[in-house]
This record gives sequence, structure tokens and C-alpha cells, in this order.
Amino acid sequence: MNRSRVKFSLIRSLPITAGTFILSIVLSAVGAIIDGGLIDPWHILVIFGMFIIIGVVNFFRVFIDDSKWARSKPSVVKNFIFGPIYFTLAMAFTIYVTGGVYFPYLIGMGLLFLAIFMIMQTVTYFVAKKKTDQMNDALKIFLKEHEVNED
Amino acid sequence: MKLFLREIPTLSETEVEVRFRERDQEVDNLVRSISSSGDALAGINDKGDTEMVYVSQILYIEAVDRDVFAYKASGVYRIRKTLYELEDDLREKLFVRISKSTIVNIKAIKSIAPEDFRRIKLLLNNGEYLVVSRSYANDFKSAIGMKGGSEK
Repeated sequence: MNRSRVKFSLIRSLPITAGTFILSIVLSAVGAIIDGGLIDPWHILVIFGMFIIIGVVNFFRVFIDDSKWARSKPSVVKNFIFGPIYFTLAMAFTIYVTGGVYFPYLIGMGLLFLAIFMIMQTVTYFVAKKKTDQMNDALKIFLKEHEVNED
Repeated sequence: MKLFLREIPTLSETEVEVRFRERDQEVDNLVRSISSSGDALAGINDKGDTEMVYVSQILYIEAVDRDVFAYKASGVYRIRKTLYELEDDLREKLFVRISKSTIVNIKAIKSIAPEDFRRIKLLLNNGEYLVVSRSYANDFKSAIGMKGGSEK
């Protein structure tokens, strides 16, 4: 592993992981307020543990993002690789905290994730495609304006 | 090959017209030489020899630690100038800053695509990829004449 790439990946992935960790704590607090219950201190530690694993996944995501392979692919491809990993981690955490597997709930969550994920990725793909076309059209016009006059 | 030189005082800038029966290697070399005449930097190659590097052949320039390197399709050359100096010198030659450490030749860009976190991915003519950082994305867009880029 290239040391500067590792450093770059760490610097870039750490704030993302820290930000989502804080967000999850806030959401848990909001959930507890709505639910009227108290947050078990053990669950905070479990969330922290989960975010250490997510931090490792984020690190590899950023690390792979910097590779030639990833740069030659649209960002949707990387989302298809990492989206299911994040979902699996979230489900594993939920099962652990709730203390068991309730299959209809698990299947429901899986289908919900799949539907939202597919819609999001389709929208992302078409938005990115539109931007790509606009940028390449601008580049084409720019290069045409500045090319050597070969009449 | 015949060479004609004509002085026309009324011209605002020097014009060159190349007439040929068939476009061959000689014509291409001539066009390349004319395009890059007067636009060269002194670069040190990997053997330590100093060579003239034509600006039009440079794909991008990168600062690594305290050194500045010019990347051509055929090699890398160390340049004895700072990135700031080169940025100023080469602005008119269609070079634009894309990150803290990189200046790219717009003419060497093959295609562009948006990336995550408002960054922009550039594919160069030699198949290499460069990323325009978020801070320089608007400057890059305005450099290629896109709407939405920052006005300078």
C-alpha cells in the first residue's frame, strides 16, 4: 500500500465516519424521546463498535476510489458494491440490539432498502449522465474554439 | 518544401498558412513545430539531462513535495519553477489549476465526468485520470466556458 494514499484515505474517511456516528447518536436520542424510553449505555458502545467497522469500510471505499479501476467507472458502480455492505452492517446491528431475528421484518427492511436504493441509484445515474453530457459538450466547444485553424 | 516569408505591417498578429498536396508526417511535424514555437520550458529528464519541453505537449504539471514535474505522454520532466509561477505563465496557454498541487492542459483532456463530493474526474488523452478538487471545480468549469462556473 502506498503510504500517501493510506494517509489520504484516512483523512478523507475519518470525518465522514465521525459525522455519521454523531448523526446516529442524535437519531437514537430522537427515537428515545419519541419512544419515551431510555438509551441503554451498552447500546452506545455497540453503536461505537459498529462505526469502527463502518470506518474501516469507509477507508477502503476512499482507498478504492483513488484507484485507476474506480476512476474508470461511474460512481454508481461503487455504490452497488458498498451499499449492500452498509445495509448488512446496519441489519446486523439492529438484530443485535433488538435481541433476535424477526424474519418478516428483516425481509420487509431488505425489500424497502432494495427499492429505495435502486430508485436513488437510477436518479443518481441520470443526474450524473446529464452533468457529464453538459461538461463534455462545453469541453468540445471550448476545444473547437481554440484548435489550430487548419482550413 | 518551399518557404515563403512575407512582411505585412497591417496584420495584428503573425499568421502562418501551410499549403500541402497531401497531409503527411512532414506536414504534421510542421504544424506541431509552429504550434509549439516559443512555448517551451527547460525540463530535466530522468537521466538528469536538460531538455526543452514544449508546452503544447505537456498533459499536466504536478507539485510533489518541493519539486514540480511536467508530464508528457512520453515522459516526466522536473521543472525549476514553482507551481504558482507556472500557473501565471501558462494561463494563456489554456492551463488551469485543478487542485492544490496540479495544473492541467485543457487541450489534453479527452472527457469529463462528475464525481462524488462535487469533484470532477478528467480523462486525459494518454488514458490517465485526474481529479479536480471541490475547491477548484467552479474555476475549472468557468475555464472551459461552462455556465455555473465562478466568474473571474
